[in-house]
Amino acid sequence: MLSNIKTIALQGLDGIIITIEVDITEGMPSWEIVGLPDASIKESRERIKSAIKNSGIEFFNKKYIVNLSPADIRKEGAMLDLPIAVGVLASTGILSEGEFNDTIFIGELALDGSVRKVNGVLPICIEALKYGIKKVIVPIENANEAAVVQNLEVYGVSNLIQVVNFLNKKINLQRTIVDIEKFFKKTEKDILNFSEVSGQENVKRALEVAAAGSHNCLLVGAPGSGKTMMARRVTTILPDLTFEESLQITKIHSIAGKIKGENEALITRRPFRSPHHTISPHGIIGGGKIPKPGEISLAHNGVLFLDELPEFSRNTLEVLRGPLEDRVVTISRVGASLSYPCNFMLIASMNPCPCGYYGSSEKECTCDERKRNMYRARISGPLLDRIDIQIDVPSVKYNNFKNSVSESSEEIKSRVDKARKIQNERYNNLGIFSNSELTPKLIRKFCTLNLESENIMQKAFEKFKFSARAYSRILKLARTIADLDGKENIEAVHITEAIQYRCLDKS
Amino acid sequence: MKYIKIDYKDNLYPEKLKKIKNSPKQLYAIGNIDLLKEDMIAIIGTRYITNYGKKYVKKFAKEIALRNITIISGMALGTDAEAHKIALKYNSPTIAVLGTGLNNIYPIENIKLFNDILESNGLVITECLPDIEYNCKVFPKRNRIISGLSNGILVIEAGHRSGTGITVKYAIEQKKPIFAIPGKLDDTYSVGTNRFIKEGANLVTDISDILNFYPQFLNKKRKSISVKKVKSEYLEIYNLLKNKSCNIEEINRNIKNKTIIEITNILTMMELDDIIIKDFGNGYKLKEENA
Repeated sequence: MLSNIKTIALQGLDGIIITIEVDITEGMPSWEIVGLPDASIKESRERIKSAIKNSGIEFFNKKYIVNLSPADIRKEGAMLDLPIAVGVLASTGILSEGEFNDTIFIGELALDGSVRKVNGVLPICIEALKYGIKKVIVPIENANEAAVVQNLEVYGVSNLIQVVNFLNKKINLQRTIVDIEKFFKKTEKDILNFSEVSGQENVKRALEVAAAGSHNCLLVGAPGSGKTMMARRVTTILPDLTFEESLQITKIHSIAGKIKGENEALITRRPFRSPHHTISPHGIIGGGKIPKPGEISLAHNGVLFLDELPEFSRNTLEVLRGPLEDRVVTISRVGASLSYPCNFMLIASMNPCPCGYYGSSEKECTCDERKRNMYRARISGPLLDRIDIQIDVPSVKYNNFKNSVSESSEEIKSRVDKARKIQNERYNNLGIFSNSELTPKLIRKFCTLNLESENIMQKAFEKFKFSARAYSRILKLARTIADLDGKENIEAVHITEAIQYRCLDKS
Repeated sequence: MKYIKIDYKDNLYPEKLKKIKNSPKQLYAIGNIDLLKEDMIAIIGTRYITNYGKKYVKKFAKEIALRNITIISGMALGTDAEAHKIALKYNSPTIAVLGTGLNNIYPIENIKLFNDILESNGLVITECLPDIEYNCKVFPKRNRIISGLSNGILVIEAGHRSGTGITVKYAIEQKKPIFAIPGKLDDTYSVGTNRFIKEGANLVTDISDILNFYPQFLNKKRKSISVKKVKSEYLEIYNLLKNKSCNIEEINRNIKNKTIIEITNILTMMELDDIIIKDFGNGYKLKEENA
């Protein structure tokens, strides 16, 4: 008897509906899977055989042919175990006849018949809805994640026999429903808060500007001056995620297998990724035979923090150049050519010199000029050009951080939210969301200067010998500062503040 | 590049160099050769200049430059370069003595300084043929020319074993007065200077310690520098920076009635008005002429 079962395979973030056809014929007992399966699918027959047997269901030794259609697309992953097993049971007549056309099955099987969790459930379910699927049967651990897609009937199962009984209508499974609002409600306050950072008012202000305009940011300072501490708190002042953004993040994390536990069905906080500096270029932009998302995609809608920027290999840093502009990365391999979104805010930190103490009042620097220059030259000009804010982080003396009250993240965030709202309204139909994305044409339109600020700009250019790129960076920053200030036009004070955020250009 | 070769027998060959041991057979010079006849002070010190060294090379070089006394040094990184730069800043003559040929400026980082010296009517000399490259065995020998041409050497900072030590050795041999700035006992780059003082170098705490040594210097008039009038809105920060250079954190702590944004704005305007400069990592300081 022939059976047809559906599931969905992912190609990057796109889903393709896969029909699993199982046919049983008389003849020498054998088992053949055709339709470009990878090794893990070929091995699935051993798991399926044992799982069926150990679930107490009779397994007929016959000639099985499993076809995965469309036959010209390479399929991978153990999540096809469950649909193939269901197909086998349907064709042997163990499942009562029924239509499974609007149902998809996802899950890996264990030898004892239990269903194990898999990666990528959320993107599969989102795609399933597009194909008109109504019901999904997923491992119980993935049920919450799947149920985020509201219009889909989601059933979580823990073993094969449950699936059989459910499909034979012997038992009733509870449809999984999640309350999305609940995820967005902040059950606990953020552990990190800017109120813990005493002093460093100018750096905090710079990060506020960075958050308000989604500007990339480079912190330069001696060890222990608090660069990492402040960078880690940036996510607490970024605007709350919208449902759409949250879905995008969860999709990528789901594919990468970063969703842990049932409570984290939807990621509702902006991701903060801080890869170690030994990371390879593939690790950062994504890669593999069938490309998986890299750190920049995992940081999508969040913050990518590169601590000790000059320690990263040159290759790793240079591959960031494209994605920083395009906000999407396309990775081509033999297996597939896939695009992942990567709209992240880059925050990097570095020491002013190899020993770290150049300019510190606490400790004498032991590097000479040549060493210092070589250290700074490790970051290429084009990369530096893509970083809007470059700021010195001064070291703080002990007696300065006693008894000081600092603004909390919530206060800063409320200002950031306001500035973002202004930007959203201004760029409503332009396909951009923040000042950092302004193109030269839009800069001319939205960043006009009055006579006074024009004069200051000219003076600064003659004095600091800024490049043409720095000019547009300063204008963008000034635009964000004006937005924070609630001003329609850029004024002189906004320009003068923006100039302070270009410390590497000046020296 | 247009250079002049000066042979030992040449009229232009400085008399001072004829008196020293192992005088160079010839000099290759580029720039204002008349400077060779002038009285001059050599300012030397470590390449790994510390903040302390930077502060005092500026203080003393400035006083010397303001009296239009020629500063001679080796155009190395660190102390040498600072000394040359200050001479250039106050339009005072300066001579750089290289240990390589004129076609191989060493260190290459100072190529801009080299051009600046020539542009402002300074002089660059060397005893090496134009195409000679850097050679660590030959290089220190140029130090005998620095001390030989000078009327005295001022040591800003020196480590335990250093090129500066070699110059001092030559100066002793040539019976030139040696001046040294004292440092803390535990500073790596004050070990040398402190030792020179112990061995008889003149301890310098004030510019008069050097000037009083030379009757010809005493009647040199100090150029006056015009101090810019500081705008009233800058005064608070100006007065703060007058005492010592501060980073923005310290400025923010000391100026209570202004927000960080206002301070940032004022700092930019002060930078644009040439009152302060921002040193990468070092915070803000007043420009020399305003100090």
